[in-house]
Amino acid sequence: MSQLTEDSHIKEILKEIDAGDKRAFQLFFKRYYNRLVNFALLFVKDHANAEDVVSEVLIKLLRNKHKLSRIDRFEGYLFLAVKNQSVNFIQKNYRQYLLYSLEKVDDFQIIELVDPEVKYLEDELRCLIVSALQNLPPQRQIVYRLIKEEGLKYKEVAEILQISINTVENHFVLAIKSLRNTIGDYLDGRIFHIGGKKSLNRLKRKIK
Amino acid sequence: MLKIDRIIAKSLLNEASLSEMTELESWLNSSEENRTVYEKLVQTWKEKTYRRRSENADEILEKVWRSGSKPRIIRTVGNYYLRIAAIVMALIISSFLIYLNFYGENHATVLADKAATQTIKENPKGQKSKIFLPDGSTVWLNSESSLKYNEDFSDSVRLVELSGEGYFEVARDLLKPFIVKSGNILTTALGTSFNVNAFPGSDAAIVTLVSGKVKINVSAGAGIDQYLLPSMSIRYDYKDQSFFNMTIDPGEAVAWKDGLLVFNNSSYQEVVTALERWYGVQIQTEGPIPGNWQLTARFENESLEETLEAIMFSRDFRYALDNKHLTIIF
Repeated sequence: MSQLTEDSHIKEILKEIDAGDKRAFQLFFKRYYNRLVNFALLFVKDHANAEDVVSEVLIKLLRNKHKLSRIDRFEGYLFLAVKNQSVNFIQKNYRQYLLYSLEKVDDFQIIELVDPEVKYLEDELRCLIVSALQNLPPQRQIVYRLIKEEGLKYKEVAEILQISINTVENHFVLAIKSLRNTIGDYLDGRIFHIGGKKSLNRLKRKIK
Repeated sequence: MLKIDRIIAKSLLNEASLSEMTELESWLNSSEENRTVYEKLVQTWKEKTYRRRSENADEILEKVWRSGSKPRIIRTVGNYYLRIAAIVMALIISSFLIYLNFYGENHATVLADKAATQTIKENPKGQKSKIFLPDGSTVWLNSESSLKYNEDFSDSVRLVELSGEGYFEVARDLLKPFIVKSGNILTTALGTSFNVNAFPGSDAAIVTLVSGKVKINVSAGAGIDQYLLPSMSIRYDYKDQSFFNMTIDPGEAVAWKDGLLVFNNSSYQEVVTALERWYGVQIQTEGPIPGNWQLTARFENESLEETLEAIMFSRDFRYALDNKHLTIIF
């Protein structure tokens, strides 16, 4: 799917939403809602809060729907809006957020399941990779996920995170390097000295 | 080693040039391990992350569509002119008051009338104000509250009478204690900032100290003086005639003066009373109020509709707003 046809297709949908077509909005919602919630989750760490953040963005979007079809590269804009709303949310709920990140971060972050239909890796390695990704600096993790899971280009990621394209590339390359080292360590059998089998099993249970 | 990672990254994104592909190939050939690691890396890359799905997505869609589709443009335009009108009105009124004030003072000196003039400042529902007292103290007066004082604090004390809620920043004057009389509660300060919440009809009066030191006593009751330390609140229950000390967040207790509407495990009735007072509306409830209805939230300078819609995200109800009459329907 090329970026161009994607974009013009979205513009069509946006025009129909602007005309008040609820079915077009349903289509739009289906396509983006879960993706945006998962993206917001990178910042706000709690599923219910992530849902609130995305709902708020979508409501604002609907209220300004007559302006939507004029926006170029709409997807990037959408992710940027969710990021900004998430940051707002964290600032507004700073104390509550601190509590969350102290108590619940474990539960919320480790829930990363893999589509059972496209499973390539053995469970053990998958667990290690998940935990290696989680140990990346937050910005690097976000870069990696936006590129891998949302299929965004460096440039688009740079616009969303408001950092330079070079920084995005560096983050991505360093994320790849971390993964490469994790896989290498795993194949060498070195990794078990690091985490210990117990914590690995705990991790595995959570992922399953 | 970062160079090979750069090339691997490009190859994953299908952006590697021919020469980079050759370089990658020779790296892969240089050891069996390199090749296995690379293969696993490609597998990781291909493996799709499963996204957790929202269980109530349909419900959320409906809510978003409903609150997003309300026409807003007309209201905003109206608001804009209303705001300008309000500013103009405020300017006219305040210049009139300033004029009156000067004139009144001159008048008083000319007549040399000794009778101390009593000033009453009163806020209706939905309105807050900031009052500068003649001694240099400042009072933020909440809505549905009033403050009564003598224009010149010429006595040995600075006495003000409060009904409702006020936040006081008292100018330091050791010789003249500043006393807030709210009902039969007396709060005495020498130079501090504190909040007094004493709305007629509520069960208790609450005094919160932000800084300094205050003394509290009941004018008619047994005269034991209570002293309050900063970040402490004292609650006087009218029925039991007893005091109760609490440690609280002083920021929260005085948030109202900065335009923050704060709820902390508030019951439905508390929320209704607060909204009525804050926005100057009358609230009617239809349908059964769900048991255990509690709200913890903070709203910063939001309109009534914005506040209601924010609450509606987590609570199930509808509302109808007709001028100053709000109906909440469960």
